[in-house]
Parts: sequence; structure tokens; C-alpha cells
Amino acid sequence: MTDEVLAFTRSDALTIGVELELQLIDRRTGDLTRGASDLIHLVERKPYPGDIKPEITESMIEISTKVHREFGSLRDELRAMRDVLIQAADRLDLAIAGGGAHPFQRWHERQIFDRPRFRHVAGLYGYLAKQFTVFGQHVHIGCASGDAAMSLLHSLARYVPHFIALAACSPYYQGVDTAFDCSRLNTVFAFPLSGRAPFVTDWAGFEAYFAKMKRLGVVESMKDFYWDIRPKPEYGTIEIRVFDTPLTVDRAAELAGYLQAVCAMLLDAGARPESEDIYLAYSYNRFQACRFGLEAQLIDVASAAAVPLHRDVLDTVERCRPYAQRLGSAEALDAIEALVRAHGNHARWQRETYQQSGSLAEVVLRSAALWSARGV
Amino acid sequence: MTDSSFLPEWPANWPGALSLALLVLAAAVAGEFVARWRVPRLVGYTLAGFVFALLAYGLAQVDLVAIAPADAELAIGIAAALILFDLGQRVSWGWLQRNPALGATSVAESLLTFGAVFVALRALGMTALPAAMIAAIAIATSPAVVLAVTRELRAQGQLTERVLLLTALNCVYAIVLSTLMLAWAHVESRGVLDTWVLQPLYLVFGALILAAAAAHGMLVVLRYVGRERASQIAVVLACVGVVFALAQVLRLSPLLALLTFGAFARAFDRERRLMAADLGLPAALAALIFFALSFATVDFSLLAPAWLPAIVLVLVRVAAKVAASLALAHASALAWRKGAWLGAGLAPMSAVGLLLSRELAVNYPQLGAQVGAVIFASVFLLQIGGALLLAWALRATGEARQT
Repeated sequence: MTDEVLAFTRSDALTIGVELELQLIDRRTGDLTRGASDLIHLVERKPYPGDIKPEITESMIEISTKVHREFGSLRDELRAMRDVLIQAADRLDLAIAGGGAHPFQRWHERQIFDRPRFRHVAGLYGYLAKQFTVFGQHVHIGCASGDAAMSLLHSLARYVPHFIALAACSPYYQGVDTAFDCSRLNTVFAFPLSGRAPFVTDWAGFEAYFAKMKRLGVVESMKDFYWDIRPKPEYGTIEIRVFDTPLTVDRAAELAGYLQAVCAMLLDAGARPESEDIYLAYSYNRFQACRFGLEAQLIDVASAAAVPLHRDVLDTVERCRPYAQRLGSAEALDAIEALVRAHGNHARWQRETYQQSGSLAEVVLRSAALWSARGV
Repeated sequence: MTDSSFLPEWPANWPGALSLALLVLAAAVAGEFVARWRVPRLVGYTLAGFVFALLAYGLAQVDLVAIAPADAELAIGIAAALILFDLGQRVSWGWLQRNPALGATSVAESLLTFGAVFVALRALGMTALPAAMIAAIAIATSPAVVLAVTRELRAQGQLTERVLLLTALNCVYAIVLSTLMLAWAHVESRGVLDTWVLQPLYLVFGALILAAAAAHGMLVVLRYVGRERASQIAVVLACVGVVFALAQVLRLSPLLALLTFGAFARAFDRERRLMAADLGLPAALAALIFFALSFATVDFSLLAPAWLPAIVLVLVRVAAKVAASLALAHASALAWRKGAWLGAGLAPMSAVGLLLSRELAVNYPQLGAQVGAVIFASVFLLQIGGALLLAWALRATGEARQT
């Protein structure tokens, strides 16, 4: 029974798919507003690209792309989905914005979307469920087998701080500057089954682990794990969940392109996680990336040295270039490099916008304008 | 003999302000009382005022002065001014451009309401002028009720936003149309067109110019004041007071001036300075005073002959609004079900209706009494009934915060 549930569907290695959780914004006040069902109702009248679903609250929708091999087609589909959504939102006087958290929403005012699973989650987690109005980007990477998936999952752990820092876009939460570039992951940490997957390096081992957890009654399904990276056996993928939703769909595609290139490099090197020691500095590095973004200092377990995160990203970009060339995502790596060298992440953009305008509502409304790619 | 002149006279000579204060106290308690059954607080406020009116005779016996109609009118006027401004600043011109079917819905529901109410009243044997006057006033949805209910239920969503927008628009139509009716009344009574053609023009365009100038001025002051909340609110309240006073002095329609003042202020507010000034608390207080006073000075015995036309008006009006919103729901990007609820949500009547019929009564006491009685009776039914209907609609569509 358990075996059946966890059968790992084969998929083509290095295929990518993106899910984005998006904020629905009141154009007048910049606050989160209810509108998911109205928006989805309107979009569904006509055929549309990708998939658009309600999420746990009425102020959030989730969009997901089809499976892609290349950065270019992924970006095009994301752009097409954005345009469809913006067109529908216009008619409903809603704005749509990226960002990992809403800067000043009051979580107790969120309405839980009316679906059995969401009501179950709200009942179980109480205030955590409502506080969980945070917005992430999830990227799926196709894996040829369950063993390959577990191997890749642990090999990627070293790069998780990169993904956090590059995507970080939740500096403000509940109306204050949290001092973190990514405050969203602090919220995720409150859940009992968050953090990293156990150090199990093959699929049989993972199945055994899952069966035990299920027998103990700790979990019912894979959905109960809120890990940074988790296997998704029914899709034949692993799912990287540490990205804040960026402020533009282009950035979302670029982050996915970078991740894909890193995975290609790891697969080519035949990387195998040797020992659980790779996780010795995991929580520390993760905290550094959340708190300081690109300014973080990482501890490299192998060399026992501290390295600036931005240096490490630039090195990784260089090592990935040949793979990116082959995958058609050189443009994505250029964008990541420019981000590190010049523009900074979207947390910086939001802080600068706040300094200019002095208003968090303004930060939200300008973020929404950036997302619509039409300007303010 | 000891001098006891330092003691108060007895029986005491209570000031009218005391009655007003007691009414506000009773209304606050009544509001919380009904809120326990998930009934909008304004129903409690209204009923408290109603009971006060009934007790007026008893109050006189204990030398407690009934609230003077002039005092009540001033308090209602100021509260209504703030409410209308608050509604006006929710009008989004951009939305009307991006969704033209929304404007069509607005025009359709207003025309249909006017036509249906006019025909129904004529069928009951009313003459054309009062019937048209009443039909024009019936177009307007109550700004006070829709703001109070949506705020109290913390409603958000398409139904909420559309009820607010369509209310602001149908109030403008009602004010302009009833102004034209006043001109008609003048022509009929004196048989001359001359300056009375100019009066509606002066009334409408004067109000627009005043509103635009005031909106511009307020934003300049707000920019200077910065982001201190108390100062922002004080500036907004003061500007509302200035527009209210100027409109009266210039003999413009204060209703139209304030509604468009709000709309212009939002439209001109490129730097979003007004948005930061959240009027939640002052608006809630204004609503309490407004509802508590709305029936506190009414003599209900005068309404006896008006109940039948009022009940017909209520039914026809709600049907017209539901039909029009439903017909244009799909075109305006709304689900059918929400379209029907939208019409029901537009049912509330109050502020504009009462104040408009008062304006009429000043110039044409006889016509004013006839129109006023029907409007008062309808408003009595639809202030409470409409609030309940709107609250029901917001809960049924999941736009109210669940409690």
C-alpha cells in the first residue's frame, strides 16, 4: 500500500517546472484582498496557459507551468500566464504582486479558502495556518529514478543558501523591517516537519523512512513535510521550495535556469553525498542567507573556511556556464551574475523603494506595477 | 435664612445636548446588543433612535427636552458629509475604464429603478411630479449603510467593491435627477423657464468646481503635514467641514459636492497621501450618530398614508436592481450568483433620500410633505431591511470575515 503511494514516476532528467504563489492586492490601499475565486472564475472562461489554482487563503493564487526542458520556453510560458492574469485582474480592479510576504498584512484577517484540505490544515495548525500567508516559488527538477532524486536532493543542500539569497524578497513582515532579506522561511520553520529531509540516499531507504513515519502517525502523505527540498514521487521530481516568489516572472525563470544548470553540473560530476557531515553547517548557512542575503558568510564544511556567499555564487556561475550553454540557459546565468554584481536581490529593491516613498503600501503597489511589467 | 442660590434650580433645565448625548449612549449599547446575533450594529443604532422618537412625549414630562430638529439636522448633515466623502474616495475611475460593462451596469440599474418605481407609483394613482421625484430619489443606495456594513463585516471582494462603486454612482444620478425635478416643479408652479434652467446647471457644475478645488487644496496641505496620522485625519475632517459649509453658503448641493470631493481627491492623489489617512474610526462614529438620529425626530403618525406606496416602492426597487445587475453580471466579469447578490446589496436606502426630500420640503412644503412621507417610510424599511440584506449577501458570497 505504502509502496504504491510512493512509487517514483520516471521523468526526464533536468526537466523543469515552476509554481508561483502570488499576492492579490487592493489597488487603493495596497493591502491583501480577497479575490482568488473571482479571479479564477474569470480566467477559466477562456483557455489559458499553464494551471491556476486557489491556495489556502482567498488572497493568494498559485500558478504552475507545464514541464519544460529550456529556460526560454519556461520564461515565455510564465510571461503568457502573467498577461492572462493581469488582463483578468484589471477587470476586477485587483493588482497582482510577487514578494515572499506581504509587508503589512494582518494575518488574522485572512480568510481560509473553502476546501476540505485547507480547512483541515487550518484546524490542525491554528494561527500558524493563517500566519502562513507567505508566498514561495517552487521549482521541480525531473529525475530519472528515485535513487537519482535522493542523490540530487542531498547534493543540492550546499547550494540552498544561494537560492535563498538570490530569491529573497520578504524584508518586511507585519509592518516592520525584519532585518532579514528572507523572513518567509522563519515562518515556515514554525511547522513541525520543516527543515531538511533525513539523510537517506536511496529510494528504498526513503520508502522505509516514510512507512515508519506513517505507521507512527506523524504524517499521512508527502504533503505533510514542509522540507526545503522534498521528493515528489508522483511527478518524478524533487521540489526546491526555499525561493521567495520574486517580483517579476523573468526573475522566477532565471532562478529556475540557475538551479537547472547547477543540477546539470552535479549530475555530470556524478556527485554522491558521502556523509551526513554535509549538513553540519546547513542551518547556520541557511540562517546567514535568510538574514544577510548576498552579504552572508557561508561556512564550507569541506574546506572548513568561511566564504562570502556572493563570491560563492559567482564561482558557481562560472563552473555552470558550459552546462548552461548546452541547456540553452546562458541568458539566465548572465542575469544571475548581473544580480550579484550590480542590482542586488528583490529584498534590496523593496528596501530602496521604502526609503524613497516612506510607505509600505507604496512598496506593495510599486511591486505590483513591476510584476505587471507595465510600469507604475 | 441661608443662601442656597449655589444649588441648581429644580426641576432642572436640561440642555438639548444632554438628550443628544443620551441618545448616542443608548445607540452604542443597542448596537452591541444586536451585534450578538450577528445583526449589523446600525440596526441597533436605528432602533435606539426610533425608540427615542416614540418616547419624545414621555421625555417632555420629565422636562427633558426632545432633540431640537435643527440640532439633529446639523449633526446628521456633518455625519453625512463625512460618509459621502468616504464613499466618494472609493470611486476608481480606472476601474470604470478597464471594465466598461461596470458603467453599463450602473446606468442600467439606475434607469430601471427609476422607470419601475415611477410606473408603479403612477399605477397607485400618484400624480406625475411627485412620482418622478420619488423615483429619482429611489435610485440612490444608502452610502451610510453600505459603508457601515462592509466595514463592520470587514468585507473584501468583488461584491463589496462593486456595491460601493455603484452606490457612489447612483447617488450622483439621484442628486442630479432630483435637481432637475426641482426645476420641473418650479416650472409647473410658476410656468416660467427663465433662471430656473440655470439653477440645476449652477448646482451641478458649482458643486463640481468646488469639489475639485477643495480636493486639490487638501492634497497640498496633506503633503505639507506628512505622515503623522492624527494630523492627517484632522486635515481631512477639516476639509470635509469646509466643503460642507461652503456648499451651503453658495447654495450648492452639499451631497454632490462632498461625494465628488472624495472622488476628485482620490483621482488627484498620485502620491497616495489620502490613502494613508484611514478614516475608519471617525467614519464609524459618524455612522453611529447618523443612524441614531435618522429617525429620532420623526413624527410617525404622519407616515400612515405612505406605507402602501412605500412597500410597493421597496419591492419594485429591489427587483429592478437585482434584474439589472444580474443581466450584466457576465459581461462585467462577475459570476451569475454574485450578480444577483449585487442587486440585493444595492437595496439599502437612507442618507441621500432623506436629505434630498428635505431640500425639496424647504422650497415646496406641500410637495415635500407628500414625497417626504413615502421616502421616509421606504427608508425606514430599507435602512434596516437593506442592511440585513447586504450583510446576508456578503456572508453568502464569502466576502465577509467569518465570525
